[in-house]
Amino acid sequence: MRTASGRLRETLDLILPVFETPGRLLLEHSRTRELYPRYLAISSYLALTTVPLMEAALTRARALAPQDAVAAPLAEYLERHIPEEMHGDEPGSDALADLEALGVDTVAFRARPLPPKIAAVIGTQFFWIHQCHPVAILGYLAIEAYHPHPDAVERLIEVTGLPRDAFRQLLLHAELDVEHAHDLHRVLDSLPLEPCHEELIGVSALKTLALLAEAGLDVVAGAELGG
Amino acid sequence: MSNIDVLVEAGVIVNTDLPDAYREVIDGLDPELVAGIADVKRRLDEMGESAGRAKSETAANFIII
Repeated sequence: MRTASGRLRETLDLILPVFETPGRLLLEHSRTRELYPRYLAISSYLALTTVPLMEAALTRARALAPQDAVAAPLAEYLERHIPEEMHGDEPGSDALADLEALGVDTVAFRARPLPPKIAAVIGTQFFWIHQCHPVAILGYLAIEAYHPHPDAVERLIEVTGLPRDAFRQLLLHAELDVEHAHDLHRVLDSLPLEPCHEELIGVSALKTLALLAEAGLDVVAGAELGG
Repeated sequence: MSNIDVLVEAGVIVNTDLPDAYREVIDGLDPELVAGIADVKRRLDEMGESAGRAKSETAANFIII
């Protein structure tokens, strides 16, 4: 039987080769050690904003719940998942600790302008959550199903020669996101989704993976051009 | 040109023997987004060729949320 999670995976299969290529190029790059902090910065920006995004979706889902069959169970899922995504005393603080292990000044990092493609990922989600339907957040969270593989992370550690402390979140997510992805797919299959919801989730997921692929490509392609 | 045609031309979709439901999903996507995906694929292909790298089958995403 075809399920909502199955249909989403089929949709994302389209751009998976694109999504994974910047990471593969990073691994094979002659300047991987130099590029890794910039690559890690992408995830750090996302880690800082994932919980606020989910909280916005939760607030909107609670508001819609009395007259929306999808919103109430969506709120239940978000209430459960938000604590799982804290990763530190405040959202994203463990990701910043990994950057600090590389000598990055995280105070200055947070004060810098957000890279446009990361801003587009985050801003688009806020728009959809507030103007369309909070279920859009499930498309953003779909990236959890395409988590790092432990072997690939170990290879990245070896290739860069950088301190293992700079890879703690990658190693953690290589394990945690296996279950998070299963949970997300179970939720997708249990929600009473209409075609319009599935379309929004699908476009949200495609847009997220496409923009993040471009953000990753900016790091490795910028280096190709001497940037 | 349909979204499917754009993605096939860019090499994102290799197998064109797609179920109708699958085609409907893809052709229903925002054409601007699809064009962006195709553009990324072309840039990746060009970069891969210019760097002369062997294709690797290693699944290697290092972006997390």
